[in-house]
Amino acid sequence: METEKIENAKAQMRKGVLEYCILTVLNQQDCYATDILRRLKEARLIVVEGTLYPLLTRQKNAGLLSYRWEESQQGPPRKYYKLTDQGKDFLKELDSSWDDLVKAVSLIQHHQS
Amino acid sequence: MKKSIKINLGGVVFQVDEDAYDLLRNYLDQLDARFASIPGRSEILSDIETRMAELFQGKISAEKEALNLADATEIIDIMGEPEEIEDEVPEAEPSAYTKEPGRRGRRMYRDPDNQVISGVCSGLGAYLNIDPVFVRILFVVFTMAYGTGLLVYFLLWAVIPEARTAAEKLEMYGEEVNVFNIEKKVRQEYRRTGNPDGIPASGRRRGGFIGRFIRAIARIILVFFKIIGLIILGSFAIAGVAILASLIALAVGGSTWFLDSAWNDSMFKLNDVFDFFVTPAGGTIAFIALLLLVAIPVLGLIYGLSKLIFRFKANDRSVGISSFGVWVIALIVLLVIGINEGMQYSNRGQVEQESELMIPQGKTLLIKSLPSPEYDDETRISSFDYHSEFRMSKVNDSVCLLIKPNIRIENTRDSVPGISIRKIARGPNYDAAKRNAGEILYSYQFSDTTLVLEQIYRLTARNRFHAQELEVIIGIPEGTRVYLDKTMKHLLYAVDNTEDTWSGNLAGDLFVMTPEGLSRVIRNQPAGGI
Repeated sequence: METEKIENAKAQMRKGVLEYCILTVLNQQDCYATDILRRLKEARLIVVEGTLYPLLTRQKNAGLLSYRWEESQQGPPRKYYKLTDQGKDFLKELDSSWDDLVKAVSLIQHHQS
Repeated sequence: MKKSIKINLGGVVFQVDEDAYDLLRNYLDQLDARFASIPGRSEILSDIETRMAELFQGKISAEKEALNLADATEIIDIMGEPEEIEDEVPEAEPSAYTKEPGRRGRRMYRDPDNQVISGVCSGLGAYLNIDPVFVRILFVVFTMAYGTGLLVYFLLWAVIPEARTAAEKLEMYGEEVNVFNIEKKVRQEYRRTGNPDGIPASGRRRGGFIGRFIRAIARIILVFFKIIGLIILGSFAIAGVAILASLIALAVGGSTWFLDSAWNDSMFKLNDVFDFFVTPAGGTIAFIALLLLVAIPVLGLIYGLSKLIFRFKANDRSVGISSFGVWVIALIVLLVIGINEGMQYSNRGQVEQESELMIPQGKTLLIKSLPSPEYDDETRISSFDYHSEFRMSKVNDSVCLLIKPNIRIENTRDSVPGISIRKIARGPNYDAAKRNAGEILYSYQFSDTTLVLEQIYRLTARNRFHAQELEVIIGIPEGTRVYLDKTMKHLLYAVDNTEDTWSGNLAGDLFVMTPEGLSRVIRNQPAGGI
């Protein structure tokens, strides 16, 4: 039961930052879903791959992302995602609020009474 | 040996073992259901399929061409169970941590694995979580009660679907349908039956010879019932279409058989009828509402039947719900208009005009009737049936309602004969009713000894139908002689007379008023002889 609670809390926290991280990855370079998955897995941000796809579609529908098709040698064409201008503005907002959040949390953690 | 299936996943073709295929099919169906409420669901699914295809490509090689159950399980683990794939269904999340195993709702299926006849009893047992043996005993007991049990059994057989897939079998026992459980189930069945479909070979069916025999008989009876049911539903559908066609013909052509008998012939349009009996706008709306009220169930029935016959599946829930909504609205509209129209008749008012008919002393009063001069032959009283009180007709190209007046002849205590025209109508209130009554146009002529009554009075569309009635009361003092002309035959309604006969029979004779009413003086006296 305890471990389940911890897992649940972890999942909630991960979920919160996942969208932010997807945008950050795409800001560095255009990617297709497998690239994004690799990056997120390296960072241990994602457990099951299926999680990514609803998020990508939602961000795309919100106008933050756009995509283009690119041929691939190994298989079917790949969907390369790219940050739109709106997505870039949005990410800037997130960046600053992330910084605020990190500061706030460390302030709370290192409070000397 | 294993059967394998060719699939196209994300644009790539794979060979897949049948059990692995079932697992994948179930998985993708569940994902589809999971994403049902979010926009872009097909896009998400196709992206996931593409990724799965990519992962599968790493699993096949020249030595291993087909994907097996282990591969499918591994890939599904990587992609995650539908519950793990967090999406915009936040309500589902807390419940994922509070639900207890075995407390999910069970669904009713027929259980083919434990069947004796068709699996109804074993399915019911699973649903109620009791031993199917008790259910079977119960059915046998009720069958002895005039065969009730047997009837219920066939009904359930027809209605309850068989649990065919592993997911359905899990639902039957109220177990959670997830990849883990399905896989467990598939494996269990594999162990039990020796083939991965979980369908026992026909020779292994339970129940032996008697079971098979009963099954065969029951199948025949079931098919028979289904055919009877289809015939009944089909005839409903045909009747519905006929009514619908009739209504549409009425709207388009303005005429249909069921009005023809009431309104003489097809020279009247629907709007002519509306003009008299409802407000034209209300009539049109009511007609559309009526059309919907009939059309929606009829179309629904036909749709349902064709679905049954052609066995297609369609996502028609929303269409069904909205049609039902429209149907309810149509019903309400019709009720409101109906009540509103009914209110137009809630009060009764009357107007009465009296005058004396002065005849010279000792002379006979002659009462006859004539068609009104401006009416054509069509409006003669003889064109009325004895029993019909009114009919529609066209006079000078305008539609009007012709109504027969009721003529009464009574004994009066006055010394001279008198005539009283009593006009009655209904309206939403007393004043309106009285006003409507006053609008009835009716006249008579009296000169010397002759009273000439109009045979018919008419209503034009302007004064509509307000349940108008017209009574002409002729008072005759005792001892006064009256001659009733033959033209009065259809108009005499209530005549005090000594013969106790139908008033119409009095026409064409000479009478004298006595305290008991009119008494015949001479039979078949020609009018000229007075």
